[in-house]
Amino acid sequence: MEKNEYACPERNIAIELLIENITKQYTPTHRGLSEFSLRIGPGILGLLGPNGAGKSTLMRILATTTRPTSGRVLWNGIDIRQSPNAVRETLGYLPQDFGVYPNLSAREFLEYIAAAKGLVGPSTSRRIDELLELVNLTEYKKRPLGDYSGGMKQRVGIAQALLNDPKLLIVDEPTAGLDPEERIRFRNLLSDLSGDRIIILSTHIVSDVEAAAKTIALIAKGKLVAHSSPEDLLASIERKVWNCVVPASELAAARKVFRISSSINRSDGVHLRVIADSCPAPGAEELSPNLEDAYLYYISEGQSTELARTNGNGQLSMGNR
Amino acid sequence: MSTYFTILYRLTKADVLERTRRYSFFVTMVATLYVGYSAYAGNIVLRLGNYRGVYNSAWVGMLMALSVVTIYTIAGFYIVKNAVERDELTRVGQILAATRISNFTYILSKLFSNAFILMSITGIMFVAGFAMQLGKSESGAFNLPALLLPFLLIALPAMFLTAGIALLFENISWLRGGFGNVFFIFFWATSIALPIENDMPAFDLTGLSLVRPQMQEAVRSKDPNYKDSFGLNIGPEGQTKDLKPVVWNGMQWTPWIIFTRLSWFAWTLLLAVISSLLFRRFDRALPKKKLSPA
Repeated sequence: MEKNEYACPERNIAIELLIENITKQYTPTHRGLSEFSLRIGPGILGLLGPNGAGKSTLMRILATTTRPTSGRVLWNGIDIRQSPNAVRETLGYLPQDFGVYPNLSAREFLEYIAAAKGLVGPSTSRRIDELLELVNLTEYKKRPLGDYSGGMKQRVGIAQALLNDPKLLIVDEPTAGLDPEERIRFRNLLSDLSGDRIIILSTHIVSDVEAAAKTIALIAKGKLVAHSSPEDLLASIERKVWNCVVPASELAAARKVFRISSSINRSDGVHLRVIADSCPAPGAEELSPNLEDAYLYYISEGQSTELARTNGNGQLSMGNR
Repeated sequence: MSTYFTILYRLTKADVLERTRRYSFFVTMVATLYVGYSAYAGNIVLRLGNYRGVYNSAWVGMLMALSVVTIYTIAGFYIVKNAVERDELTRVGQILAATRISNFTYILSKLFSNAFILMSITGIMFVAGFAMQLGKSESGAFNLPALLLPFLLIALPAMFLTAGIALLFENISWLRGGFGNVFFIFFWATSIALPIENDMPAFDLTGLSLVRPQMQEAVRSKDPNYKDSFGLNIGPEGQTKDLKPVVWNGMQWTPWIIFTRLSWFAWTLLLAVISSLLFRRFDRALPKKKLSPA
């Protein structure tokens, strides 16, 4: 057995999730994941990728709600395909497309999920009250869930994932439907929860992981494109982010040639934030990279799109400045 | 062990609460009350040639229990055949699939939830039977065991099995949808008719072939020319006004009859085991498990 890298000092047990060469073949022509490998230790892992990249497939495999076609996942050395309960008993899972029973109150629903997790008794009742308080739903706990807004249901989803004080928390697109205040609140909650547990936060919103993630894994077309700390990810694209100014009339042409992270209209033209391995145009200014730049750089690399880099030396005449 | 039953109780309770708070459940209960009223109004009649029973506790209990069995072994199937599907549609199943709950415990909770819904119908019919005896005023003597036992030993086993069959259909891929709904009509008609026609009371879910000889005996003792005619008539043509009343004091619940009826609970648990083996645990990517049509 492989030596575990991480350890939980409180319980003196290893905490590690090891993903080895996972492939998920849905149909002969549709592959959700391809030879995906990753080692995950305590802290927040931000799993970033575009829609359809395979994030939810990976989440479902890790949450044991579907099985890989090949490869294996080890939770503290135990193959979760053979022993799914090894991870289920310590798992909190918020699926991307989860639902609720519309005629139950939040409290009744949480009691139901708690029972499914094998939790009963007075301590569970207290835990439910604490979680309702944590997600700011105490006031509405007796109201039918069918009357809840999307954001409130999402908060119920977060509460159910935390019922068993999980050592492995998997949250798939958790901030969908949350307003900005709730989103910040949720990010802070995740930060507070990290520490001696593994949190896998899957999202396509870079800012969701920017603040809290200890490591970031980028996924595209079912494959792992990059995995490192945010600092290393940013360092890896130093001197690859540029500010170019083009006339508004050439914006469409520029979009075809460059990978553009953002664009801002100014009086002197459109300021483009261009991702390129080398200076994309005479007069382009080097910028300090951010995570969105890194995301765009690696994801488009992973998707092997036809970009400026492949077009000669990648330089474009910027027209009149 | 007590923790396990507490968990099972909580799972069942939540599912029951979710279902019983739906408008469709209210409609089902109102419809059941109408069935009870139809029996009172003479549109559901247990008829033995030109005879019917005096509306005492035993006769009313058996009439109502047989009505439940005849109507709700088919209607009940469609009423409860959405227990697993609902978790799929509401996507609660995605959460449940990632918990420790075993397939068997989940299926068992759905079975009890199904059974509760059908037992609620049975309960309404019991109350309707009580009211019917009072309303008919043909027998002042109220006999609780005589009224209750047909519900417990004839209706409940049939409702329990119906709950289990519905669950099994939900977990067999080719019976889950519209084909299964149509198939069940033929399955129901065959499984009801065959044991009655071939006099196989042990396999008669309705209990009609268990009840028939004892009722016929009561009529024969009054009318030697009685020709063994027997039927549960549902509809306006079965009016009771031309029928002569005969006193029937209830079933002789022999150990064999009781065993026969209780064995349906065991068969239902077997169906639950099979269902749990076929249950896909909401894995949409899993190849469909199939039971080949025999």
